[in-house]
Amino acid sequence: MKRLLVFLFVLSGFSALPQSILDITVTPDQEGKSLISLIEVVEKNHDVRFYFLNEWLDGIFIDKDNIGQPLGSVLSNKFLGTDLNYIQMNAHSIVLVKDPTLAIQRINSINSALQERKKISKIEIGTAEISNRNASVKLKGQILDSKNSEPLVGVSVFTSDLQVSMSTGANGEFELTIPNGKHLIILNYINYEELLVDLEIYRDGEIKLLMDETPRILEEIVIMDKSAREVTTSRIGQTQFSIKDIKRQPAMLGEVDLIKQIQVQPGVTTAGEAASGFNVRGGGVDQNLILYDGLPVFNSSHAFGFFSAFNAEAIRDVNFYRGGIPAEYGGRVSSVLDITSREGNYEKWTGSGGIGIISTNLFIGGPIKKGKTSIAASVRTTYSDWLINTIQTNYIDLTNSSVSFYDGALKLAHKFTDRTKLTVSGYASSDWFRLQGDSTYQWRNLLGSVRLDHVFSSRLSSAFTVGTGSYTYEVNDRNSRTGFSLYYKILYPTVKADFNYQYGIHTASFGLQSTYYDFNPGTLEPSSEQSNVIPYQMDKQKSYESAMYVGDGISLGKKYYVEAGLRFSVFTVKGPATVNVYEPGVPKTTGSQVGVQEFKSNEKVKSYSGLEPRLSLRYNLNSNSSVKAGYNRIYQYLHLVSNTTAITPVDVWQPSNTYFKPQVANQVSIGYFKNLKDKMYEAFVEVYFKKIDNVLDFKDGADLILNDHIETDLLQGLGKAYGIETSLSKNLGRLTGSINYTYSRSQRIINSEFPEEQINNGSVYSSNFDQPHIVNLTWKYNITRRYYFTGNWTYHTGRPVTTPLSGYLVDYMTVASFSERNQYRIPDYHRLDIALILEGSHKRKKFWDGTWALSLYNVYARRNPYTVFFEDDGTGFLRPYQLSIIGTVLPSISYSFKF
Amino acid sequence: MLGACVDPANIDVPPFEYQLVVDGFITTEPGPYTVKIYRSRPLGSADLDRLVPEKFAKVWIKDDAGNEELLTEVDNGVYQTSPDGIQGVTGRSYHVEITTNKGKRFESEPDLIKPVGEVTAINYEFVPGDGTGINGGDGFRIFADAIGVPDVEDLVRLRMVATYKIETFPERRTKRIGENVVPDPFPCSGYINQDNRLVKVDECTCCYCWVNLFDEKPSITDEKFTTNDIFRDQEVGFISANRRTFYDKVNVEIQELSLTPSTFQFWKLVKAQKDGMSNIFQPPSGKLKGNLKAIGSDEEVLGIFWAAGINRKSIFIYPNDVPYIMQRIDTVSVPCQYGQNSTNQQPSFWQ
Repeated sequence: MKRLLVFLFVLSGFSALPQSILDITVTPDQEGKSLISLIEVVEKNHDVRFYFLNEWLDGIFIDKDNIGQPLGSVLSNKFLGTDLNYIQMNAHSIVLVKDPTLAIQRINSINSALQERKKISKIEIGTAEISNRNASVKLKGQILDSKNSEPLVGVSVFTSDLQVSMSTGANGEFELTIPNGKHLIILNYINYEELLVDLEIYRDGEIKLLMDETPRILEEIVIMDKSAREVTTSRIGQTQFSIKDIKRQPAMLGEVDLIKQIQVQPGVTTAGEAASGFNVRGGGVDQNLILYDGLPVFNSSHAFGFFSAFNAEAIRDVNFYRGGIPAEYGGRVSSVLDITSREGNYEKWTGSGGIGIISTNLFIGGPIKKGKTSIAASVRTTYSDWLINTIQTNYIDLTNSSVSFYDGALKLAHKFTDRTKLTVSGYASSDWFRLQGDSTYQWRNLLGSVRLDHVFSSRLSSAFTVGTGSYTYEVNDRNSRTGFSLYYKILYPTVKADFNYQYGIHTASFGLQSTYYDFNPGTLEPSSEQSNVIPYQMDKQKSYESAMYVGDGISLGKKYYVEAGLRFSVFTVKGPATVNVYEPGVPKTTGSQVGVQEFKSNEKVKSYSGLEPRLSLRYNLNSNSSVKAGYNRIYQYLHLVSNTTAITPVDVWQPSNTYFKPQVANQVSIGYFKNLKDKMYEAFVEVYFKKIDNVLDFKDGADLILNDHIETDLLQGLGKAYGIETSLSKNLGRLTGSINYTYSRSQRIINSEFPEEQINNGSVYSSNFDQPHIVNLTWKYNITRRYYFTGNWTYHTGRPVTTPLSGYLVDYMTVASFSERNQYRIPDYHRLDIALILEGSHKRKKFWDGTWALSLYNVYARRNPYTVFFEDDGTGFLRPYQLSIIGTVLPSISYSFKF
Repeated sequence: MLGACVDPANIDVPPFEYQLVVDGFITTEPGPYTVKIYRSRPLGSADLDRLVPEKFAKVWIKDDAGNEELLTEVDNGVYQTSPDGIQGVTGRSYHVEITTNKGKRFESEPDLIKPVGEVTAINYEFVPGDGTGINGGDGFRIFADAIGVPDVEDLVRLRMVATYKIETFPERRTKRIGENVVPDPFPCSGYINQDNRLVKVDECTCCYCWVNLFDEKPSITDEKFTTNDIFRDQEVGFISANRRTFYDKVNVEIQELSLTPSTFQFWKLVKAQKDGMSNIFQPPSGKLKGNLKAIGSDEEVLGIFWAAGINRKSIFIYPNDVPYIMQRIDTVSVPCQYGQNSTNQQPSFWQ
């Protein structure tokens, strides 16, 4: 038949043919009849002949929308998304053709998957004989974890023959409208095995699919979770992390660290060796929204920045957005790190843990009531005193220091029905350390939330969250005359309602969020009766941040995906408050204060609001390459007031108020993504430009702690960042890995009519995080099925520094003359780490699974500066010195297990 | 274990440029007042304490009432008013004008003298050191109580000047002649070498000196620690307790100086720079902006010329305040003036 059609096609040619038959309109009496019936009527009433096989058109009917349409349009419409097409051979002949390419592709894909021992589900819904009246059918699906029946959110659902992709919604659900017939659907999810669905569908239907968590290594050839995802992922600048891959990377002192993994992403830098904060595309550490089960975390580090505050064993999903940030997120202008904690298994008790030379951790979870209620608990604590006591420098004597930290999480989940689930989640992290003298530092994050997930219908699902968080720190000095206790606290109860609505090609999301912030910016108390410290209480600050958002992801045919969103955020500062009033037309100083303005309890002090449009576009050039673009505007109402480059325990978060406007970032980015050599390689290049209004910087010598005139010590100005990020990954084979290079700049302009309110005379200067060249190289080489060699090498330009240039004396005091702000740079940073990972048996059914990790950190013992400080060089004048926390190669061993 | 280490930071900076530095102030007490003019030095050079003086300059101190005085160069780069010359008056502004030997002109912003409060008490506390440095770092922390001026913003610097007496033994200098070591007394010791024997011929004028010790960082008042213009136990300095400083006793003088906002900001920045050196979370220190500028060029000038109202109070701390018996002073065979800020002129307050 195919040969016959091709023959006819070649014989007749197809140019300049009359189209009158195709212009015939479909009459109302055809409604509800089959397409074959329509063709018969046309053949009967006109001098025309259609060539086709009846079985091709089984199940295709004329519906109401087709009435009044030209025949040509109706045929095009009915054949859209199928392998059918038509050709008008001449004025009297129409040939319907069936393109076998898609079918062949589908068979090849299935065969290939069989060879690779991938899991394939064969699903049939309806039969070709008794098919739906419409040519298109709706398929509703839900994807669950095969072990604990947990819905999997964000699974990539790719219909390969149609080249259409989408992601599962909040309850692991998706809905496809596809032509009836045979399709191949490929499901991909990080940390899970790829699942192929060999689907034959002739009527609307619902399916449930189970995905298996990836065992450590299935084959010699490892399929990295990320493979082929970049090209088809809808958003630009989004990365999903595999906890398993994070565990396989070399770790400092054997501690698996999520934040360290973020720091080697393209466009991400860090201030120093052990700094747990991170900088995204030239932004400050405060510009990253770190969410743990939906609530913000204000301090993400442990032990003074050595380790992150999140136990990798207790994490289920991690999503990191540095561009194209969806509308549901707001409040921080640079990035979003969305962490979801693990739930307990609903069917059996499982556990995991690790023992390292610094800390030990344990996760355990299981059913309270099988299939209905689960509980999960994790705890991590340290025994790191011995380690810090080994650090001895001329700069800091740490021999009598002490460090301790812990973090713990608890999660209780109960399924009322298949459609309703309640989750109670709690998280606590705490640090205590004493470094020098009598001062002790303590800080604590506490989070608690209750979340109700409910599926109203197959289209509409929702999540309601009520929670509260707090961040506190304390500094205690026991000196007899000057001893004090300094106490700081942020309390932030939050309510959220998020909805997902799926309809046809649309995946809409919308919701409301509101957070009440209660800041205690500082309470100072004498530590003894002899202390000269006068008790002091900074005015408490109360404010509300609320937002509503709506977004819609739309698949437009095979090529386009658009996700557009709009967020409207409002920030209101409430009384009681005392606002300093300054003389207009002169620089703000304590001397120019002319009075105060008092606000009563709950009275509005100041309000800001703004619209935040978000847009992500993807255009698939073909199945192996795509172009993506993104734009977002984000308002940030909270500012980290700091004059150090890394997060310290005494940093102050300052809400926007009369004097501090919200930071407003506008970012555009565009990227090209390509898979090469049958997805063995993946490459992308992405450029971005970001402008941030109202960034904060400090005046020289600013006093930020307990400062009730803090507006006199801080300045606001313009920040801009731009860069190009490139990456090449090898995803298949014995050796896998990636290399990325980023060129980026991050600059500030703080200008004013008053010289006192300028930085560097109002000219452009580098931000603290301006590191133009960044290179990261990571690899994993499978020595055998269970043993592999991993490593990473990182390089970045030294960060800017303000350095003393000369020395002089004033009033018998030696002082240094410093350069302009951030005029010079500290030495470049580079480091090589390697690890040998020895995993246990890969049998699926085993009680105990243990892994040894042997790491060498800083293999060639480079003394990278953690910080640069200035100290008397013996002549009374300052000289710059660098403190390298890790000054040698650092071996470590750790053991992790799960059961 | 971690191999943590401290190395000099290799920061690539441009070649050093010598910059003019001006250091001087005027108060409401009788002079003479000193203005030092010299050039800044590169960091890391071995002779940072030997600053290059700006010699043969013309230096005037002027006020806003038309009074002025041309200063006299009393030492290289050190310019002084006459003892009965210009004197600061509360409510008047003062500035300095400089013309260098090469004709370059500089001047400071006028600085107003504001009313000043008084120092009400000086307290001290012996603190044992960490076992390093002279006498293990033992010493006295000095605190002051002071009051400001009602209805005036309390921008105050509490300046410490400690004075202690030392004894040196300049007659004990020797020299080697051939294989013999023979006496070689300093002439100011009052001794001569007569047939390799020490013979006293006059009184020693360089055996007893009084050394001034200044605060290592400015102590500026903070309104957070102030109630009703009263400052309590403001820490103003540290005096090392060793056999030299406590050879006799130590006079501790605390001066209360009233500052204008710009001068206060300058000393605040100096303090921030000094504090930063001992702060584990050392913030980056910034540019220290003084109040001097070049006339007719954009040459940067460092330092400050400031004016202040002044009030002072002093106490003595005695060796028996040290909780152990101090050893006798060591034998140093040089004239006592050789040390920094040392004079053989007994201060009037020393009894």
